[in-house]
Amino acid sequence: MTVTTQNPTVRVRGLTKKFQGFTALDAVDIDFLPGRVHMLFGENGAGKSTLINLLAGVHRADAGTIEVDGVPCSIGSPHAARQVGISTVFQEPALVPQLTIEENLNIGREETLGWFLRRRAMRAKAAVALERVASLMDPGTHAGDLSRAEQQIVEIAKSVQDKARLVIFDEPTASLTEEETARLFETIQRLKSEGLAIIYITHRMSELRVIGDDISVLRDGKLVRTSRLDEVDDDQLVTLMTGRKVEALFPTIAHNPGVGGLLLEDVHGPGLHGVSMSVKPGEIVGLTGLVGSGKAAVGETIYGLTRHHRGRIMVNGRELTSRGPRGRVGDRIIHYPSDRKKAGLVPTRSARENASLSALDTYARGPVLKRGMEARAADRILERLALRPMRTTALPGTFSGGNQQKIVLARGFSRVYDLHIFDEPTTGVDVGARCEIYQAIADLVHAGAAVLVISSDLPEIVNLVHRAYVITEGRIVGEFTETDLTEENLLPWFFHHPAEATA
Amino acid sequence: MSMLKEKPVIKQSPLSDPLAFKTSGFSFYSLARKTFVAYGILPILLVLLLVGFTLVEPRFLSSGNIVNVMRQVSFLGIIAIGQMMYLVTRNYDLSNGGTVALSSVICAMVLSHGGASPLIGALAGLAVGLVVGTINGVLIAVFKISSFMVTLGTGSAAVGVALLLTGGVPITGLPQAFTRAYGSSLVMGLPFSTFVMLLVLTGAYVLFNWTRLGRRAFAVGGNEHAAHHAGVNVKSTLLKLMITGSLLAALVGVLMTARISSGEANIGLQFPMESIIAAVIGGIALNGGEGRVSGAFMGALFIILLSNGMDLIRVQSYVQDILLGALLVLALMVDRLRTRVRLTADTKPRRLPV
Repeated sequence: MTVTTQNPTVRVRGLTKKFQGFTALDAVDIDFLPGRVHMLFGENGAGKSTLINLLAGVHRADAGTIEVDGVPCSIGSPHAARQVGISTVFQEPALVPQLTIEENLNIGREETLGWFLRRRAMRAKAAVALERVASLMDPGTHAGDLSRAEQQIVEIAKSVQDKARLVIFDEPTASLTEEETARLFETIQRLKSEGLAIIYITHRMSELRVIGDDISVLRDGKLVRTSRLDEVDDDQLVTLMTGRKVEALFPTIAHNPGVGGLLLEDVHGPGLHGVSMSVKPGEIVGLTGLVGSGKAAVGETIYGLTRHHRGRIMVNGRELTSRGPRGRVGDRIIHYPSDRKKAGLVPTRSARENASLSALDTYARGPVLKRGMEARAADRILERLALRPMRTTALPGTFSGGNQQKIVLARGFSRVYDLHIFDEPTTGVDVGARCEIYQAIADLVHAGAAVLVISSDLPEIVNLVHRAYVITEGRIVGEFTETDLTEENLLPWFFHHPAEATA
Repeated sequence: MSMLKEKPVIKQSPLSDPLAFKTSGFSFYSLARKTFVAYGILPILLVLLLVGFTLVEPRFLSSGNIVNVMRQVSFLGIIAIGQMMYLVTRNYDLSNGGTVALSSVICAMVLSHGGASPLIGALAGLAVGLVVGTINGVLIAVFKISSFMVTLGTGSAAVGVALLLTGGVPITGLPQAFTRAYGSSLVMGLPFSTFVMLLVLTGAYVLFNWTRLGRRAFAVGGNEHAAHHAGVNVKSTLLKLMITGSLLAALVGVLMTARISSGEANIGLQFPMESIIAAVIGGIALNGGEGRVSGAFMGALFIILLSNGMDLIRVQSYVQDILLGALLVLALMVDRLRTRVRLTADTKPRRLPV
């Protein structure tokens, strides 16, 4: 532990949270000091999100204490968290697009005289809030007209209003450009100089030292170590983060590339500017890059969710001419969306019905469903994917994120597909379920399917796939195989500008 | 994974209730909970209604009144199933009243002017449903216009056409063959319309539970985006459901025409509201993606019994409207609660197999 001379703004002791027997956070002790940026580092499912959800009042802790300025607090709701001075800037800005910046800043904290709004006081307050984040935006602008980065600045202004003591940033740069990131860092520096404590969550090694002062590494819900950033080097951090378990998490997948499979030739479309790549049967290939790099667009284009206007997409030597996901399912291609809630699951129907949705015609004679057969097949698949609890007639919303993902995955096992495209298969998935999902993917590859994994999780790319592509601004900028496939090799290409390179 | 294989897996028959889990014995609490999740408070209300009216008014259970109730419930029952076709896909049908009116007028005109056979008259009426359903379906599924506005428009237009054709005067002089066959005949001891309703209920049950189309309709209503992603043809699903729904409304138009022996442009105006109330009281979610045929029928039965009973004990119709409005709001409140119970029901099983 760091020797501290200051009293911590927020002191966390023995904080524990369990979800249905799974310990997401296990007796964590951390001090968050005023005027310092505290990085939280760890893999998906390590407990970072759980920790901030407890601080932000989204969940209640099962054990442990949270003290703010030495006073023990019970934080039962996001409102209660704000009351004690803990505010969170989430990845997704939650502004009302129809209202102006000024109005957004005043929602829920209006200045009034009797029943009437004191507009001038509210304007002044908004101006002060914007001043604190060094923003030059016109407070009369509608939030809907702002860029995502600008919206985020307004979110920050909103969160530091009142008497914020600790501000939590949850992967704030995930969807920002480099310039916007630089602006954000300036804002954070300013808040820091005012003596606020800041928690910053990131997956990016490169950001740690630019903005961070202290770091806590979490693994499997436990605090591995808290340290000053200048006292550890990157290699140590990776070891701390992954431990020895990383190899156990990823299955060994035999590489037996066959003939045919997926072939993209100079594909142009929304967000894509000439993508060429291939995935052979019996092979698992990764595709990675920053948010907005076009990696998701590749999967969506192959699956027919968006249409390409130039180039060819071939599967097993035949160019795809079908339209939409329905046509692609007919071509034996399946895509698992990154956003389970939005594009993956039907919340009103059972796990079983969700699992068999893409394969209804295989369970039907004419228009009539053979429900007994469907139920047996779907249950067998869900059991094989180790759905927990194994209750296939329950609604998707009653399962954890990892198990919801298994329900989406079950679709790919309900009939034979030649190509499986996974878009961020393990976001919001706990470690146990991740392991099972990787094993299921390995089974598909061993059965001779071509598998494309689109992911921004570098350890996942490096440890799971045979071959990986990096995409930037809609163009493939690098291909890595076998020994070249390391995080250190991949990462620099994320920030590579293909336009400059060719110019 | 190997550890998990030893875990007891709860086997269930495909027909069992979505919330069923093995309990060590009969539990009134879990049965009540399941019933509530499936149907809301409707079963309780129905029992209260039957017991209450029977005690207050002996004529309520007379055979004459029962036949009367059966006829009325068959009209609203079929309409409610039609409404369900729209609601399940997360859309409204406010045009079913207009469809009934126009179907009635067209059917009567074909019969009285052309001297057509009863079947041709009935088919002419049904054609109205085909047209209205297709217009609704295309505008909602292809042009993505809100169903509320589309069906409000088509319903209003249908009434307008019906009034234009008749000049507001009922079309009478229908052939007796028609009114007898579809209006007053008995099939297996049941009024013809009740027999038709039973066919419709059976057909709808099969559609929603045993066909791909039904399954896809629920998926589209529950999450259109996810259904599309899973390879469901969303547009064709919506179109088929809406045409079927409007055909059912037109069917009621034909049956009512036969019953009252005239084609009228002002019948069916109450149906949009009554059918939505019936469906929602019967546990069909306004947010789409869930609902039972039996629920829609019980909802219709409830509304008919309520107004019939109140007629018998001479409650003013204005007061009945107030009560019906209050019940709709109550049903919506219960709907919210039901969704919450449904979501929590499975996370905490009270009794695990030991």
